[in-house]
Amino acid sequence: MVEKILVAVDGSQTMERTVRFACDLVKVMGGSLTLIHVVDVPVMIQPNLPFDSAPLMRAGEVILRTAQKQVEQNGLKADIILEQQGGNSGHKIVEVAGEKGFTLIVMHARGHSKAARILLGSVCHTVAHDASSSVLILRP
Amino acid sequence: MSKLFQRVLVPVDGSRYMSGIVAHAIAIAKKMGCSLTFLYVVNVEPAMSLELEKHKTSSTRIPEECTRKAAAEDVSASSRIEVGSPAETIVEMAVRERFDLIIIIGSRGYSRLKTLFVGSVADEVMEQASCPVLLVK
Repeated sequence: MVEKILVAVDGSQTMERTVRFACDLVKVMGGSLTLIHVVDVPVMIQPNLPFDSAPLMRAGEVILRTAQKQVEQNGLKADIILEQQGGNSGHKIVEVAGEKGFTLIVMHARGHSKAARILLGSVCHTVAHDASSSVLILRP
Repeated sequence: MSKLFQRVLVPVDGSRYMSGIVAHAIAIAKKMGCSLTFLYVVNVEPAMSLELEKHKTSSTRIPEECTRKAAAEDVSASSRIEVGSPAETIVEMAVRERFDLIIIIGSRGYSRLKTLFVGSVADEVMEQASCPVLLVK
């Protein structure tokens, strides 16, 4: 049964609901919570261009701490994982889930994709397809 | 805390992957105290409509068998047979009858061919559902 839960958080408006849902899930089903945020770094066309990802990583840290605080307010604990990835951050979520043996990934269908026509964001799509663990896709 | 899920829709296809998802759904229902509805969609091409009744009758045992398994573990469950395009039927039924979770077999990702068969309905459901979807791998 579900034991190790990885919750993808992105700092979007849906994050609070996603975290609250994950907390409720653990209260009912048991298991551990880990929050992951993947910083979307630009893919450089020219490898030599200077790029400093530190500010983005700091922002990512803030997002994770915010979500972690929310988990603690629910009387639970969560580990946090901060990663970076150029392009689709779904690949990194799948990679981490596989390496660390998570059994369930919880994420929102849309996150930052605001356009109503997008039913399933690209990150969610990638995770749903490529993850070898189960995936719970939340909706608004 | 209110219940996370109350009405859970579990589409089943009679394939060899089915027993895994049924066991998973029953385990979830036991912990959450939700009810399960096992749905089998008879996917019939217009040319086959003459055979429809025969097909429907022979298919009823699929969701019924799942319901029996659930009942044996004291989980409230019912079975349904619908006719139509599988993904569309699942998504529409979930909306119409206010299901709050769909549990479906997801593709495993490592095999393109397997994805083609196992994942195509799951794909459409996950894209178009308006309630949460649990892809079980």
